[in-house]
This record gives sequence, C-alpha cells and structure tokens, in this order.
Amino acid sequence: MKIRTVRHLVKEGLVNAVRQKMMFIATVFIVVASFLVLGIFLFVILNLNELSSLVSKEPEIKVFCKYTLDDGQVYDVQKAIEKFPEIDTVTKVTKQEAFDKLKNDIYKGHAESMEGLTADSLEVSFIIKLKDPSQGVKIIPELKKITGVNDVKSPLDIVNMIISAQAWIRIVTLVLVLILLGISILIISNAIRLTVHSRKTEVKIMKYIGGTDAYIRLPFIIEGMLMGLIGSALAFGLISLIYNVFPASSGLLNDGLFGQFKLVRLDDILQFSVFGLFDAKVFLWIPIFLGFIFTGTIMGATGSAISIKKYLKLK
Amino acid sequence: MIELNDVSMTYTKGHEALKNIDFKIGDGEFVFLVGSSGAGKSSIIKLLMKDEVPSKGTVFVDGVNVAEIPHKKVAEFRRKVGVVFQDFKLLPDKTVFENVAYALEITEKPAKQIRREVPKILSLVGLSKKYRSYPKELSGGEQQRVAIARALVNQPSILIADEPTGNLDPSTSFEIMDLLNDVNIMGTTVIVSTHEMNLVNQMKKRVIEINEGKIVRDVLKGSYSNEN
Repeated sequence: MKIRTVRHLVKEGLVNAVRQKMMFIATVFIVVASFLVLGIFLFVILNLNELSSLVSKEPEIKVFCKYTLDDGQVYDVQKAIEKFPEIDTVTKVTKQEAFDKLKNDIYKGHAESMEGLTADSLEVSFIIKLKDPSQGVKIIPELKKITGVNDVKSPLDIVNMIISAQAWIRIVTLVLVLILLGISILIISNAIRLTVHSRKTEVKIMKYIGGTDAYIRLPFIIEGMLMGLIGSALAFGLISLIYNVFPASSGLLNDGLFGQFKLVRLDDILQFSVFGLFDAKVFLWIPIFLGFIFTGTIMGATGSAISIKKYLKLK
Repeated sequence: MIELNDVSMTYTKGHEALKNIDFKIGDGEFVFLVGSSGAGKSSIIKLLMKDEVPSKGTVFVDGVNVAEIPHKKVAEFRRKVGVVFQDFKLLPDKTVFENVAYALEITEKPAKQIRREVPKILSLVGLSKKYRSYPKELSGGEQQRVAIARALVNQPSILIADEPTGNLDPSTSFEIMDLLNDVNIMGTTVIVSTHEMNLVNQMKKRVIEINEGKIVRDVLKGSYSNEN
C-alpha cells in the first residue's frame, strides 16, 4: 500500500469516527469503564509494592518499657538495647513526651478523651533504627527478652506478613490483571463489533467493488485505535482525579499511615538508568499515562481487527 | 469472454440453484438473463463475480477460472467486472462524487486522476450537477446512475447488472436501459438480469432464459418469452 493511500485511509477512519459519533462515544465509554477497573487495580498494586519496599527499607522499631520502671531501670533497658551491634540509633521517648504527643497529635481537639490520663500512666519507649533493615526479623524477639520490656512494636510485623505473602500477592495480581485485560479486550472488541456490524453493508459493498481486505480494514482499525486512545486517556484522567481528590487517600498521600507509609504520588519522581549510559528522571504519572494510552490503542486496534475479520471472509 | 461449462451450484442448505448450465458470451455482447424470481439468475451473477463458487463445472471470466482465484486476488478480479445491483448498494455516508471516487481510490489512483475521471463519468450518466448530493437525496433512477458510474469508472471489460430496474418506475427503467446500451456500444460486455418483459422485448438483444436452474432458451435478438 502506498503512503498516500495510508494517509487517505487514516483520514477516512477519522471521518468515519465523526460520522458515527454516537456509536463512537458509546464504545469510548466502555473503554473508559474497562480502564477504570484496570487502573484502580494498578494503583492498589503500586501502593502494595511501595508499602513493602518502603517499610523494609527503614523499619522503625518501638520498644515499650513497663509502667512500673523507675529511671534507673529505664536506663538499664536502654543500655541493654544499645548493646546490640545491629542497632544504629536509639531515641528515648519520655512519659511526658508521649503524653504531649497524644495530646497534641492524636487526641487534638478531643480533650475529653484524655480525661483522667496523666503522663505517669504512659510508658517510656525507645525508637530504634537498624543499620540493616533485614535484621529486624531477628532482633525483635531478642528485644522482647530484655528485663523491663513490656512490648516491642514494629511495622515489620505487618511488613513481614506482606513480604511473606508478596510472592502470592504478585502472582494473584498478575493473574487478575491478565484476566481483566482479557475481559477488556473482549468488551472492547464486542463494542467495536457492534460498530462494524452496523456498517456490514458498507463493508460488503466495498468488497463487491474490489476493495482489498487491507484497504477496507485500515479505517476501522484507525477508528478502533482512536476509541482506545481517547477511552484510556479519559480513564487515566478520571483515576488521577479520584486518586488525588478522594479525601481518604489525600490524607494518606500527605500525612501517611502511622507517620511511616505514604501512598505513591503521581508526581513522585521515578529515576532509572537508560542503557546504563545516564540516569533519567520522570514523574511517575508519565510512564503510567503512556502505558495506559499504549495499551488502549493496541486494544482498540486488536478489537477492530478481530471484529472486522468475519465480514471480510469470502466463499 | 465469459464461459460457463456444465455448471451446477448447490447452496449450503441443500437447495440446488443451478443445474448443468452451459453458455458462452463473447466480448462486446449485450445479453439478458431472464426468468422468474428464484429461477437462478442471481446465482449466475454471483458466480461471475466470485460471490459463490460452483459445486460442479467451471466458470471462466476473461480467460480466468473464477474458482481458482485466490482470496488475495479477488479484489483485483472484481475491479475488472463492474457490477450494478437492484438496491444500488451506494455508500450512504458518501456523496455522489465520493461514491464513484471510492472505486478509483481502492485501486490507489492518484488524487489528480480521480478529480479528472469522476466528473467525466458523472457527465456520461447525466449527473454532473448532483456530485455533492448524498444517495438519500437522489431519486431511484439517479441512484442507479451513480451505481453505474461507479461500476464503469475503472473501465471494466464486463458490466453485470442484477435486476438494475427492479426498484424503478417504467420510464426511468427505459432510461437506465438506454444508458446500459450506450455503455455496450462503447465496447463493454453487458449482462443484465431482469424479469421485466417490456424492456427485453424493446431492446431486441440476446436472451438467455433460466427456469428452475436450467437454461430453457438462448436466442439472439430475442424477446422475453417464446410467446412474444
């Protein structure tokens, strides 16, 4: 096929899209719906990954002393903790500091909930950072054995659970994404099939007067690609809007969970090396957006190609 | 040259549409295929444009065995055989000009040539002034003229018309027949299937009559039926 012809057929596809606007819009909506589901899933996966990688990078372990300890005993606990060679820093949180934190952060504006509570009724605690985060799993049981220690708390508990389940989570999410993609292709190709079906007479006429399969197919494929492109771009816009505006997530985006884990932000910077030659930095949303429109366009083209095949058959 | 040798055709449902058909049509001939509805006229036309294949026998068009044309070459073959249908089969979303131009576009003719050829053929069928109209804005006769223009624009050696006047009033039907006659005089082989007696009787052309899938009569300068 000549370039001139391809150019002409691309134009033809665009003109068809405009002429069949209702059908076009309906299909675009179906694409948007499919990609919304896919996109929501993608963000869940991104955050799960972020959660496990972030917390295992910088785990913070909190050791709580018993209420009854006097200053000397607390000092002994601190010394015992500091003996561990795996530990990088130990920060003491006094009863007063813990009380102030409760008052100013957690129960801010709810003073009535703190009635009867005094600094004395709280525990002294130590915040520990490790030199090597992977040692966390080993050290926590050891810390619990120290005399005077009431409890050891660490997001590692949750993280460990996630890490041990991560392989499974990945497999399950991969399978789910594949299933969703398959369903989306089916839905889209079905929607495009309706478009093609409504124009089957046209396809037949084209065949009768000597149009080649490629010639007849190309405008439909262009139309399908356009549906996929617009649908996926719209879905991306909607998802980012929901993700950034939704109150529950906006809290997590800015303040984080337990002051530790924050949701992935679309304007996070992604750094990667290009063929080992230089480092490139892009906003996280750029590869997601490109991935969306690429998948959408390919799905639109595939859907069209599948749908039109039936009508191009000859006896 | 068109040649059907001992052709039979059975549709998938088991209905035998054609039985042992034999005939030859020479270059530049004008032939009427006549017979009642369901006699087998349309089946012959479908064979000639490779819309169907014979279950027995061979069909040659321009020296080519139609059954042996591979899928990829069918488009090219159809450009050599112009076809006109009872229901015109125009593309509703395209103007008169675009409908005719489409037949040239699929052969990848340059835009310049398309702009030159289409007005010529539209003037031949008498539709120069309606080139911007859409099919639904035209009368039946005008739509059929567009269909004829589209069938002719690639200068096919054969023009097949399947009940071309079936949807038209008598006077328009005569006009269309005159146009087909002009096309024939210019050198194109013309095959017209019809069951309109008056047209056939007036034109005095070769008539092949089909009945229940068999040829019952093949006469030069014939009329619609034996009684005339």
